[in-house]
Amino acid sequence: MWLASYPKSGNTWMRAIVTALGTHRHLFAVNQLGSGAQPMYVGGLLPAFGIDPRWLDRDEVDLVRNMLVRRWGEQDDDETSSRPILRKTHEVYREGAAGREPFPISATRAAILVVRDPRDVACSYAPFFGLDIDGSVDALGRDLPEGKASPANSSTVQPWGSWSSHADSWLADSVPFPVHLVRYEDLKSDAVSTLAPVFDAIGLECTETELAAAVEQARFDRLQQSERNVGFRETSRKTASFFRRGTSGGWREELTATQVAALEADHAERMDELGYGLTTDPVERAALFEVRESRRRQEAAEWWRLPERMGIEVTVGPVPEELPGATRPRPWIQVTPDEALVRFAAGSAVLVRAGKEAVVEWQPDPDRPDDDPSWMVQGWAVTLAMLQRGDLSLHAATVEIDGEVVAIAGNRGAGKSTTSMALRKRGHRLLVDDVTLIEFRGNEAWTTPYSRNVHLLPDAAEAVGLDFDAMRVLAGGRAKVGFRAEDPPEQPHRIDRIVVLAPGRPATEVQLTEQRGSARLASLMAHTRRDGIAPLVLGQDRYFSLLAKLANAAPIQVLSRPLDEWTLDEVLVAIESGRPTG
Amino acid sequence: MSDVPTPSDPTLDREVEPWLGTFPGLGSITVAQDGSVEIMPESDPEEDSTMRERALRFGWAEGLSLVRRGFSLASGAAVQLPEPTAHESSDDGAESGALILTGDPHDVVIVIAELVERGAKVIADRFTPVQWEQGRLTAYPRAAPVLMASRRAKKLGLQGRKVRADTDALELDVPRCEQPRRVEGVANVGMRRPHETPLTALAGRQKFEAAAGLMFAGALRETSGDNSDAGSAMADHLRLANLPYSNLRINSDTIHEDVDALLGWIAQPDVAPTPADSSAAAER
Repeated sequence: MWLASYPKSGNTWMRAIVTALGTHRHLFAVNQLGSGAQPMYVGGLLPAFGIDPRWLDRDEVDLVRNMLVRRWGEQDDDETSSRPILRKTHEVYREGAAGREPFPISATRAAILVVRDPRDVACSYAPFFGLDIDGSVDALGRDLPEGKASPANSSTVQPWGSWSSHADSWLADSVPFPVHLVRYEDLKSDAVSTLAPVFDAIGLECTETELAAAVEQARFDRLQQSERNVGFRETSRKTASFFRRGTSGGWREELTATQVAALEADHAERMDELGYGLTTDPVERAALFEVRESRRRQEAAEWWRLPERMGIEVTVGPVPEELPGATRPRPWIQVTPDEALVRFAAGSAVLVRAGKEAVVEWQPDPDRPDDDPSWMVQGWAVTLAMLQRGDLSLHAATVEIDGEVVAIAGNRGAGKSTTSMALRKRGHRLLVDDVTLIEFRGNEAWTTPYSRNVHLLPDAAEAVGLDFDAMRVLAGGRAKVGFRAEDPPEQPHRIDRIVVLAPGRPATEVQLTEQRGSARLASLMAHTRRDGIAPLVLGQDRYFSLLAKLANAAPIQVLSRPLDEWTLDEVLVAIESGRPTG
Repeated sequence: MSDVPTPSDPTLDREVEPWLGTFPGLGSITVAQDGSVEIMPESDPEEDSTMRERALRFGWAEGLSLVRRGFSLASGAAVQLPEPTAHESSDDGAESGALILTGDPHDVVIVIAELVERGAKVIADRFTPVQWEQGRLTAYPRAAPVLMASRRAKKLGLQGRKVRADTDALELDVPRCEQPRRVEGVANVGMRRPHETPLTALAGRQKFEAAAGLMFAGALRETSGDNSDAGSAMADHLRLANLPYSNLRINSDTIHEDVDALLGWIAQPDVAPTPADSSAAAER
């Protein structure tokens, strides 16, 4: 029988009540609460089997956890026909591999999930884990990866997810045993009425009088007093007291409006479902959630790392000032047959060799250490490497619109990122921004998307409802921020249509014009030359051959718009419909 | 449905001779009555069989072999102290004795590392074979190396070798004591919480409770023998309670001072094991 909860949500208090139920009131002690052993620790293998789990590998540790939990189940059945034993866990519910299930069904009768308003959890989580409140708010929103088991510490993984994903996991329909939900706030207001039906359902038999006495025995102020008197062995090393306030609604005095907004943005859906009233504006909340998710994705990814499948090894280190014998299509770009070196205004540089090796010389601004340098790798290094491999890259975002894959090309400032982000907001899937890598299969052009930031100017961020100031600024003095959308699928996609954004062309309204004949070639040239590097690296012949192939691979449309008196929605509708209007 | 077969549970059969342990995927061991062991690792293309052989030997067979050879196993590491204690040094040519360190092995190994810096030698990691000799508890060396989590080793600037292909456990190079040593005391190691003092010497009931948890039960205890009745178990318990016990609460930032406190405690003349009744009947 699992007693599951996110940390600092009342699990220990529940254990105190259950312990008090089975203990004479004179013997009840705060340091003898039952069910304290958590399942991730497999040190019990040593006395049980003589095996020191520190000598096992990660899979073997998971295997013995499953076995030890099943043994608990057997012991609990043997010893307590009428009184189920609750086992504490902070982990998310997950199925696990066959034979290594962390919560084996055969050993589980049911679970009680205790939930607490995340705004109060954040206040309690901070001192317990030695964080400030902002750190605590961030931690509740971070769906931590499972990490690795640590056989050296005799432990399996203990993922507890974010506040939302923890509750989601236990309340999912796929959980194969009954889960009884208990809200901390209901416990506070009337523990007896809240617990009586739950205990009845799980077979923990007691009268209302007994339950009331147990609740009285485990009253929060009594636990606090006991901790003051004799200490509490389960407390964290980072806090002076485990039993802190034990209130509900204390967040109103402890949290700032910004912290409340962040928590509500991160957990709105689950909070609403669990009856925790939201206090912020829904539109602002959704936009804030997007920005916070973007930051979390950025922080989870090392800026210099590219997906392994791309075959580009990136290192950070010095690069040479000059490439001997290099051609310079621009003053800041040097190209030789095997190497390409790009120097940036703020002193950083990227050197790419043989299509598979990139060196980034990164000069962070000491006054702006949080600025994001990933654009050097995700943009320049990738583009140069692909050219060195003999492949073309299109200066375009790619979006899947109702199953049709549309590349949206355009010069700098044409609105590719704004358009692709706005299409994403309308429910279409953003595959990649700014760099669409082209490979040919027969006469078709295909692209394999990869994760990279969308770069947004202030007006672009505003156009898609995002707070520019809350996003990570691109390093190197660039006036853009980076937005990291959800990771795209890794499989190749056939490009069905190419739309070239052409602002400033004479137009009285938003027009989509199908390109024909040599105009097809001309409309793509500006978006494939890559500052003149492509013809240099690929060679003129190959470059034009690939360009011609791309021009014939999919319909090409130019989207013109007037200098003013147009709306983003008109542009989006035109792209979505794909019907030429000019 | 997955094609991967569901692994079966590890088993230890102590009803057969020799004792037979099997760990599916890893291998099996036998431990004969005289303590001799046979190790049969399963082959795995992704891991050197020497690693699997060592895992079975040091992680499983060695403890059971010690049990079969008549040792009790104390639930803690043991080190030979850097210097003889006050009452030991009163004997000419005395060798320094042993200190048993109980607690989470993850914490204990920090203290071991610090003690080694000061000249201590490791007698045993994780659990220690012990016997009563002339009324004194004596710690015997075991061969298994000292293990530490790689993250912690990195933090402490220690080098080590991985013991398995897919693990974070590192084997540390530390000086070893190869001879039995009399146990001078027991310290329970834990991380220090706010308001806790680094070292607390235990007395009275606390010592009695600490002694109760010192020896392994379960698979790491021989079921037959003189100690199977309650009377001799109680006698053992009382003898163990004669040892000096302390709680050592450490913090990685103050580990030097914490270990100073530990060594200061064990060096005090009045911190000494009380010789127990050394009659032959009490010896194993």
